[in-house]
Amino acid sequence: MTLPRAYEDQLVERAKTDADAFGELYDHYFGQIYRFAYSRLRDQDSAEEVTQEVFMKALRAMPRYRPSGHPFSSWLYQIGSNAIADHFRQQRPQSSLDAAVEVADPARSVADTVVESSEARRVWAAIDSLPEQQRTAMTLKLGEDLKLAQIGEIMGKSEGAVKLLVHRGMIGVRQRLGVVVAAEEAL
Amino acid sequence: MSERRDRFDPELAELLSDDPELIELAQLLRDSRPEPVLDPRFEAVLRARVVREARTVLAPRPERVRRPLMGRLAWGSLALSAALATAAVAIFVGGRLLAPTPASLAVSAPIAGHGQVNPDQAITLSFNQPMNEQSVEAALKIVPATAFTVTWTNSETAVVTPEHPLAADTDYQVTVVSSAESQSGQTLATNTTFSFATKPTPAGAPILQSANLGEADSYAEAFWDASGNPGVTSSTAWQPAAGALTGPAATAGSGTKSRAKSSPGDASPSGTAPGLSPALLPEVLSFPAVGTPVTLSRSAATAVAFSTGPGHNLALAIPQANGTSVITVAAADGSAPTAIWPSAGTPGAPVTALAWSGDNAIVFVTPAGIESVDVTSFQVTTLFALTATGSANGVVLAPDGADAYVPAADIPGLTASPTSPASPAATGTASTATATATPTPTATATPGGASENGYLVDLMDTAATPTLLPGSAGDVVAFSGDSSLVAWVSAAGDGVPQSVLEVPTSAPSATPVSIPDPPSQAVAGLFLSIDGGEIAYSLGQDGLEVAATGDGTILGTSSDIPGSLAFSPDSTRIAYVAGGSLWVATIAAPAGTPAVAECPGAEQVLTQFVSAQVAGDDAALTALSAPGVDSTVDTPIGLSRGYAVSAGCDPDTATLTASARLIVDPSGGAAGEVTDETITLAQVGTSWQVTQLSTPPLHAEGAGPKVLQVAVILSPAGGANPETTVLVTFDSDLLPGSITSASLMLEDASGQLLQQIGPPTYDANTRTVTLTIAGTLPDGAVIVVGMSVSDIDGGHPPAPFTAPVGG
Repeated sequence: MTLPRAYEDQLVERAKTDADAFGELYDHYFGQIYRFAYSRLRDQDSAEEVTQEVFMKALRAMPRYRPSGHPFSSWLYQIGSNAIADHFRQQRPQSSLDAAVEVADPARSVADTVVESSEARRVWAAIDSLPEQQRTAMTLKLGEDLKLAQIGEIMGKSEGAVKLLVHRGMIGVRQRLGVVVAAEEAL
Repeated sequence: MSERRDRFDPELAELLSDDPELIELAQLLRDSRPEPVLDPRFEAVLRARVVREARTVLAPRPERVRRPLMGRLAWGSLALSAALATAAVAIFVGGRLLAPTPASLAVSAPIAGHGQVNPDQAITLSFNQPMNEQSVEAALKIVPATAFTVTWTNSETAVVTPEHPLAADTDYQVTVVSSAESQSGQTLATNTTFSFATKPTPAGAPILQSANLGEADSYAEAFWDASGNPGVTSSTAWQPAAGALTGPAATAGSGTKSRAKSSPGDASPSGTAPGLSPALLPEVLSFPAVGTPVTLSRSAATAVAFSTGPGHNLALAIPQANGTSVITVAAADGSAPTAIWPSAGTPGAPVTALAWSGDNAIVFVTPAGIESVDVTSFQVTTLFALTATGSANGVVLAPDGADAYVPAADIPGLTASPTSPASPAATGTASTATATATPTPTATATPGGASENGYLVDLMDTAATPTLLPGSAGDVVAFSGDSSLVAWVSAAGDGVPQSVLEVPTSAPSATPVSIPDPPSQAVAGLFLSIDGGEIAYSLGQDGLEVAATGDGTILGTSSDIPGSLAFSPDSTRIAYVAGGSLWVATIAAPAGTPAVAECPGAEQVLTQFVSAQVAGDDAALTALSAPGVDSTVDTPIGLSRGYAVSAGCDPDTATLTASARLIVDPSGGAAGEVTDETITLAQVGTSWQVTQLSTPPLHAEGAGPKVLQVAVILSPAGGANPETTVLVTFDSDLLPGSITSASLMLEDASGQLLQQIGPPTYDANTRTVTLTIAGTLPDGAVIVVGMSVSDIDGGHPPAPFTAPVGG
């Protein structure tokens, strides 16, 4: 659910000096931020750690926050994106192409492989093997349904650059799944 | 937690409209997004923690503290006087409070006593009672004078953040004056000082001093024109922002000043510039060192290339309103433009890159493929077809148009292969794509699967098989300016670190060379100099780094985030687009090198000598000194650190005169001491020896700003109208108003003032003052820093500072 912009603007302004208003922002955005963190990290403890970091950093920087014309959530995603990048720098992600290999069934096409939801969830591991920026753009677009312009704001890129990242990411996912199928067919 | 998405994302539908299979895959991925595992207690627990913290953090208060009035006490002498330190200042070591009683109000700082503090490090102060925050902020002081901000994580913990990176290799004292008050009204028993030292600047890693030439579209391309002037493919105004000149920037600095002072109606040399009025529409501009900018095209371009041949030697790809491009060739100054593609009646297409192929043909890239158009006959030849669904944005052309990097996704008919190539980063071997019936490479996966693969395509031999550049991606591939080399980033995979690889374009399947010491941060953009001797990395939010490809030495860094960058023809400067402006920076050699370069070998001996002084290595001091010079007697004992501040070479007499600073760090209750010595080296045969040493006694470091380093840059290298730039770096934040041509002067050997080009400029971020003179510095020239220079606390140098710079 999206907050009406005018209400959100007022709430954000109040949250600079009012703990309860900040709590309301937390209530509204906790789910999005936790889901984003979990989508990228695939680990409950890590997602909790990053989510906590996002809200604590946002709280400390709140008095300096200046609206950019984008939803307040863009700023939170931005903090989250940086926190996740820091997390990956400290610890390589567990998911890799190997995880995607597990889900591929050589008897089916790529699309068929993805159809079954139980397997499809695991196919998301193919996204984990994409380059960092493609991974972020794909997660925000396919996982969070954000607008391309908002993703650009979060990632510090133009909308055109985000389009390129998503397009390449999609091709990369297909390619990786195709490589997996081909590899298994060759066995 | 999630919302059901019944409707397919229209943006995705449009983006993937040319590939139904991708749309289907995207929809499936959206519908099958894994639901996060969430401990239901976590949300509530974190909420309670966040709101509790918010009640402390969000209380209204002034956020910034800049030099409280109390700081205007003669604090430097108070803090650094040994006698007063004993009487009134409690010193902390290793964050442990030595003096106060347990019941007293106390403060500690983990940074205290550390000797290798990062210049970006914030300083955390922890009190044992909730504090009156305003009283603490008013009671804080940093020596050397440093502007800072204060934030509170809770009422007992303050984080002091310097506004600019701390000076390298410098002792700092952070003092909390005893007036700091707790919420219960208790005050500190004494003034409390914490000491720490910053780490030395990494050798050869100067901060780039960039000059702002004018506005540039964020996505414009920077270039160097046929005359060696920087330019940009899309600029809406060429006047520099007021005060935008932040550094010496060699010739760009004088050019900027000249433009600012021109009168309305001035015409550019080409006669096409709009005088002083800002351009209403984006234009292609180049910026000569002197005079007004030159309009090379009244329309912005997406790509530009220059040739050295006669006649037309400027090529531009000019975007049209319908999304296609027109390729135009013109004289080097933009005159006599002629459209050469597309020909009448044929459909156009967007051109993403172009290059001259010899003097008579243009190679260019559209989504359909890589093509060539003859400049005189307008005949078009397709060199390499691209996949119909690609954007071609990842295709990179070599400057000579003979080779291109093409991402795998842009190559039609790419077939999957069950085998993966060996990783050159891991094994040092390269892989060449397998040829099929047509020269179509096979798709492969890198070991970690973390990168896209792309191929080097030989455009001069359409039958040749493209060669795989393993792990490469379009955003981070670069050709050298002479097209002899191609470099790319092979992204990190599982257990394989990021590497930057390079092969000759003439032998692309040769074993790639790994460029030493690539950045640890993710590389977002890659740029090579003309001969590939230098490389620039765009590091996203981590800024810009320029390095030597031979040994990885860092030649310069900047916090700017370049979207486009080009090396000058002599590789001594870079032009780049960042933050909506075109910038030019000289790749500065390490301090003193231009002068020392005329005394080859002297710099190493100077460094060895100072190091031996610090180490107390009497044998080395004796070996480095000429007979009759007993350096061991003059060198103080117990030194902590030492470094050369400046050096001047006189090649006629083969002597080097240098100023060096020797330091004893504060320890326990003892204040630090310092001395500035003068060292003269002379060449004896093929070696250098210390022939004179004048080392005054150590003394308590006085209050006020001190010079940390003096560097001399002659630019442009080998140019017809050289200017000399002298960079003077201070340890303290200075009052800009105190930086004048009367407070910082250059004098010749007889004490006569050398005329400066304009007043000195001050870069607050690096605490560096820049002075510029026309020509070269005469032998025996010195820099003089007068006592009217003021830091932000009102402190002045205790005595004029003089250091040799001439040679």
